[in-house]
Amino acid sequence: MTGQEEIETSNEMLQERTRKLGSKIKELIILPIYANLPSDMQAKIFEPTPPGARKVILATNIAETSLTIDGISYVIDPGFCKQNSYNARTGMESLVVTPISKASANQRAGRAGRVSAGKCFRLYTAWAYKNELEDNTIPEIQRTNLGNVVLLLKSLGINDLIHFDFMDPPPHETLVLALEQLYALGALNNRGELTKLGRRMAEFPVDPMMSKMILASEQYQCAKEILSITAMLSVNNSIFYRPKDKVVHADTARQNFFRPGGDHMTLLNIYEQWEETDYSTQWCFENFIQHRSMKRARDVRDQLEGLLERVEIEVSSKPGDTIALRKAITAGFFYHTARLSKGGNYRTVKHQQTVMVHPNSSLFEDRPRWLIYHELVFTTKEFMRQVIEIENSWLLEVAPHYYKSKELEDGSGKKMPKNTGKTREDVTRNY
Amino acid sequence: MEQKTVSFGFSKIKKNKSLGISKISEGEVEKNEEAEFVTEVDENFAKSTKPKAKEFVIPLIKENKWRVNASGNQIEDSAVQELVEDARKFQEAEQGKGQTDMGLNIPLLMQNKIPEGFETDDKLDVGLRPDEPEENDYEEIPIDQFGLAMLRGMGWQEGQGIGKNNKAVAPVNAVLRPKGLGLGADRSQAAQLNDSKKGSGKNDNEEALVLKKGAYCVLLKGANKDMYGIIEGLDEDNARVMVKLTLGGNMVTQSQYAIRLVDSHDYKKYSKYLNKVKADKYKEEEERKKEKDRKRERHHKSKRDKHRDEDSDHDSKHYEEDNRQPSSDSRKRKHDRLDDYADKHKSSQNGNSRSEPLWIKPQIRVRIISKDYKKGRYYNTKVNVIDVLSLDNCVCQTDDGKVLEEISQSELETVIPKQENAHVLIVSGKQKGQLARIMKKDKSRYIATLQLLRDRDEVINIDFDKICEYSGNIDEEYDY
Repeated sequence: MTGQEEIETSNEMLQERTRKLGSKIKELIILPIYANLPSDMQAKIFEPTPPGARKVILATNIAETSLTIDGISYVIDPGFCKQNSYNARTGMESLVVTPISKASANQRAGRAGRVSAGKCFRLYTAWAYKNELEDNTIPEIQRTNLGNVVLLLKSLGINDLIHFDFMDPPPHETLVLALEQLYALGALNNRGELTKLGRRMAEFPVDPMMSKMILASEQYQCAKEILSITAMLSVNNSIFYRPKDKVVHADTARQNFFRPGGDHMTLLNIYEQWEETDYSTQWCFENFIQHRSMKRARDVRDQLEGLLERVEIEVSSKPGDTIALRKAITAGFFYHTARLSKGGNYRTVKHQQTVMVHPNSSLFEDRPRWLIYHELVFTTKEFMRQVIEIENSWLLEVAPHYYKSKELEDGSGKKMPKNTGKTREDVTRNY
Repeated sequence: MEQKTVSFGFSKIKKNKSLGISKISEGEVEKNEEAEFVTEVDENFAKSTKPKAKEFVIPLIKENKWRVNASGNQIEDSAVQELVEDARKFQEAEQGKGQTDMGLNIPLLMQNKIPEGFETDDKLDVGLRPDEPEENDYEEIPIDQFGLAMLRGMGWQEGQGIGKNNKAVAPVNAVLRPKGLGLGADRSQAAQLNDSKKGSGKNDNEEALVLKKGAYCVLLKGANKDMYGIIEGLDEDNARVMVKLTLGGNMVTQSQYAIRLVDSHDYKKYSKYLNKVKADKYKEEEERKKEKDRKRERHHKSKRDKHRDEDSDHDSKHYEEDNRQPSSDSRKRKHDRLDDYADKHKSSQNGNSRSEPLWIKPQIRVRIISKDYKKGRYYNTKVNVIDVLSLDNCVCQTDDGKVLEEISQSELETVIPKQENAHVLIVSGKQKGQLARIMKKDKSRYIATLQLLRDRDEVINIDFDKICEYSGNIDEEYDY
């Protein structure tokens, strides 16, 4: 199945059906598996099935290649998966349900009957298989942001990207955008040379915008906080655990972490609280937070801290100064700005694309005038995930080469929708 | 022609041998190929009045220029650099072009090896690198030009791909699949439905049709096809709607692509129909008939046939009356059914763009003449047509009761009854759709003499190809 949502729905339906049938059928063990599931529940799928019982595993494409379960005799393949892709024109990532490739279909079929005879039921016709499915999944390099790759090649002294022997060449649009971003971030100069900043950025195994943000924290003296934020952002989609039967509790727990300023502050808050509890598992459990993700964030943070030492940045801290933090973020992510338009919608500043604040965001109801988003994801709509509010003047401060003051006209004098948008005092207030 | 030389200059810049000292060359290369200059003179004129945007080219850095301060031992570095230089020169001399194969003999990572002592595992000394660009650098080369300028410097041209085998790859564009739309489904149809859902509010008089609770709809598929109902709930996740049927009041769930929204006017008018499609079809036929009659009228008038004139006049009046109450009299006029059939098939024939006229109808006896159908198992077998779904899909039954599906009309042939006084259906020509009795058959000329059942005074001669044995019960149609 394509994701947690579908798995949970079918899980419920199966449970309901077996309950109705009662003792008419033999024991049916129904187990879900997806990446966001806590690890103890994931481990259950490997437990041996008691004699006479049947085991049903509802899985995402995690079970296609990443893990192998013994004794599977039947596979049901609905023919869809969620695929990540990257629009090189707008820099937008999308996570969209798409038909799988023939290669995937065969891989799925191969999961049945590894130790004995098995069957695969495909929920699509032979015609659809032949005509609608691609032969192979599009290689990831052709549907991802190449900023990091280009920076790495540059730091290795490989300047000719055109004649580099890519196994699967990326579309040139992606390279163009990556180069332009690196230029705008100051990692490349106008001759195309890697700059001092760029070389230091290349040390960090993260997106160039993130590494710029880390390096900018030196100037704003908030490296400690920025490191925690970066680490949390790198695992951000799997921090909260939201079981279907405790949705309300989980959401309240999440909302309790909200901090003014935006989602980055919330993430920082979670990490700091967890740190205070001495990285407690129990605390995570009580607050509907995935301990596994937090542990990973901690590992990432440790690694980044080592790298910070390597690029000779002191781990300084400015507790509570959200303006410095947000300015450092802006320095890295000035590409990702959106403003509230007169119609009450958000539009990206450069591409004038209509986008929305993700409903999970702490700023979903606040609607500040200027936003910086961490990523733009197209699922059912174009959502900005992880947003902070900023002031437009900061953009001129950190990226005067990218923004003309005309583009950043606040429109304070102009009419704004009622009760939306914040004044300068609101934004610059130190919480 | 001058511009021509300029555009050649661009590729030469790339071969610039002054290593390390990379100047920004704003080769104002005209975008158009030379060929375009010759053919499209007009465009050239237009260009002269409005200068084109500059195309920047940033030359490829073949070797990094290290900003080494005059200190420390550089003998080793310079030795490496010299080696690299030699190898490159040798290669260029040998190949003359020195473009893609420049680094053939030098391992990729050695081409721009960092001098000893800088950027080591222990210490990251970035002193070799240039500073970040300043604001005026950005003015020199704007950010939105930078990427393409770099690629051009590497020898890339519009339309080319990346990598050694130069395969152009289009960027992936994510397209949102309509929810609940399965594999193998017709995407265009779903799109159409979506469009009709969105864009019907053009006319101010019409209500905007929005898929919401309380909206009126008609089901297009399933057991309750053509039933009207009110939407009681939406399941957005699975793209399904819950509909309360107007007749019977049952709740059904249905995919949102299998319903059509209707406005309240339509709903009030049709929601109580048991079968709207049939009623619609009937109405359509009436309309058609009326028109036909009018035509005939005109035709006869020109022929100055007064008697017929009066008749058809009377007829058309009668039809007009019918039209006012289309639903109530559908049962009353049973004797006209055959005519309806004829018209119905004419209309389906119109809808079909293929040239072959549809002659096949239910309740006739035909012969299968295709050796391909079911591997020729039924070749030369007589079957009864049960139902005609389309030109190439009809359902037939053999004499031993077997039902055959998906037979195309082209695989069938008319059958002439053996016995005298048998009944036939006229399948083409002016009297198409009429039933008749065979009075005489002339096998040498392939002509039959028929008596029409509707108008027993009329006897016609007709070609064998235009008639077909009728297998239905004549008494049911004409009680005599």
